[in-house]
Amino acid sequence: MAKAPEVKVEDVTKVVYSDVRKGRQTIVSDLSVVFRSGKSTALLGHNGAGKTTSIKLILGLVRPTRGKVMIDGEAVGPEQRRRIGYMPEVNRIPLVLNPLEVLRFHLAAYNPPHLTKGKGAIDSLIEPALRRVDLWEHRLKRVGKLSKGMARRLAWAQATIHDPDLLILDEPMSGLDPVGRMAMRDWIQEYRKSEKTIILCSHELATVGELCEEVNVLRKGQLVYSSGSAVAEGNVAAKGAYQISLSGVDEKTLQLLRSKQGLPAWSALHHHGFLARMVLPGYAEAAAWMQAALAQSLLVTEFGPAPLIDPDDLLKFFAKEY
Amino acid sequence: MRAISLVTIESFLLLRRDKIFLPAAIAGGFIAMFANIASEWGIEEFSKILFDIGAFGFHLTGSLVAIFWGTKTVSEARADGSLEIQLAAPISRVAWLTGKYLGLVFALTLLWLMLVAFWQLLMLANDFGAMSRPQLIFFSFQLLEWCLVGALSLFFSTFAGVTIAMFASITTWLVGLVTMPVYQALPPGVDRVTGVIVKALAQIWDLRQFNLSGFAVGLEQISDGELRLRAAYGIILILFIMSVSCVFFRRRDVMA
Repeated sequence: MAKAPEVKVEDVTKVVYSDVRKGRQTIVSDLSVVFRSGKSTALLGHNGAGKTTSIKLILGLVRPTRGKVMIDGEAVGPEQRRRIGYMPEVNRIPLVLNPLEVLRFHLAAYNPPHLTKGKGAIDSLIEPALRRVDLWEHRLKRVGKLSKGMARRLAWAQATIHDPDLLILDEPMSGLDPVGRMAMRDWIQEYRKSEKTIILCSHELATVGELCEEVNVLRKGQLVYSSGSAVAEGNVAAKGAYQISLSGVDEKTLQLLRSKQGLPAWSALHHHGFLARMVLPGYAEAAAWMQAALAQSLLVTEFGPAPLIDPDDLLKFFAKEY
Repeated sequence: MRAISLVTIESFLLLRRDKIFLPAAIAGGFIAMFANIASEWGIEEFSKILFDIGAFGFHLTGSLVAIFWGTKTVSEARADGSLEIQLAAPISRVAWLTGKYLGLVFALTLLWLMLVAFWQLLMLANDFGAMSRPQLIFFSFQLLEWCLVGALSLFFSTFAGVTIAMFASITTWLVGLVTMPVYQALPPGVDRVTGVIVKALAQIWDLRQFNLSGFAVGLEQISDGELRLRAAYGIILILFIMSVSCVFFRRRDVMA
């Protein structure tokens, strides 16, 4: 299996001419960021921060005014795009086509290596892909007649059917109901396990926390935070970490718990009012804390694997002073 | 070639399913029927009236559909974002635009075939028998003009939105219809610069070259050499417009 690509954005600036009144506007300014091979990286920022433009720069849809974008050391061209799966923020599928036609066109355009020659080869890949997203029954229905959630699932199938090494997801959860969100999260999780490079744009910090190992934050077109290894060592929970959420915790109880249990070196503790959330290195430490909490008659509201990035840590990147 | 053929098929499919396809075919048919009725009432020769009015209807329907589809193919794809997802695939922009244009040509050809078939039925109903060679040539030149107008609107769409592209296409199309009559009607005392400009425009952009209704009814004689020259004129214009469109389109950012 080919190594997942590394995406390098080097000193990229994008200036566009908006209109006579606004004149020239800098959408992205001196952006340098690396999306490491095999990692899932979040691209965060306020609306208008330059996230979507950055994605389009990576896809080669937008040409940088200055700087360059490289995928495995090469400028973005049709061959590089063959390795990319892209799911845009809103559905970009012609409404008069049906899912079968959409995926046929898509597969034929990408012509992936696992696509065998011969009649029916394309359809043999499409059927499992559509079944997976529960659209096989609707394969002959026009996209315009599908519900928003169905269209999003089709967009996922379209982005991944050619088994890309680099998956770019722009707000993948938008327009999905809770069940759809869970399914989408599971699909992305599964994709992560295959060590592919993932770039995820999302406003949902909890999703980012669960799915991403690295994070980059944009503000007014500039990179204001890049996690790299620093966050991985500091704020980001390692794989296998656990979290406990407690209710009814006052400062005194917390002090008591701390004195009894202690906190491991990189564990995180957030305390808001009577709620506390702890991220601990492993199951054993978390179980010990839970027992101690139960002994203090505290209510344990959540116990389970910790997100890779703590959403509370991410929230501070959006604070005004940042 | 693979990418071009893929985009061609997709573009043809989209246009064939477009809401305007059937109404356009019906409108073209109605105008031909109207021509039939008018020619029965007219005092001039039956076939001349039939071809004059019919040619006008054929020309109008096809050209407007070509403008609408040409604009829709690129501008609307940009507006609804489908352009973005297709250009994110390993398809070069030149291949994409060429494929889109070929899809448009095939869709226009299908519409043309339907209208020509209807026309043939009308001729059979009036005991004119099968279409003659000049009549077939007349209709073929109409198709060539549709394709030229389609290329023009595709060109405008590469850098303008739907409304502007459509307005610019219609204006340029109308200019192409009147340049030669305007040049021929210039008074002798007109200043030199105006004369040169109007003449140049009439020689470069003259869509009346494709109106062979006189030839179709035997009132005008056009040699095969002249017909070939006119066809070459149309094809060269299409190639030129498409080449310029590709140059523009290659440099455009895709921002939905």
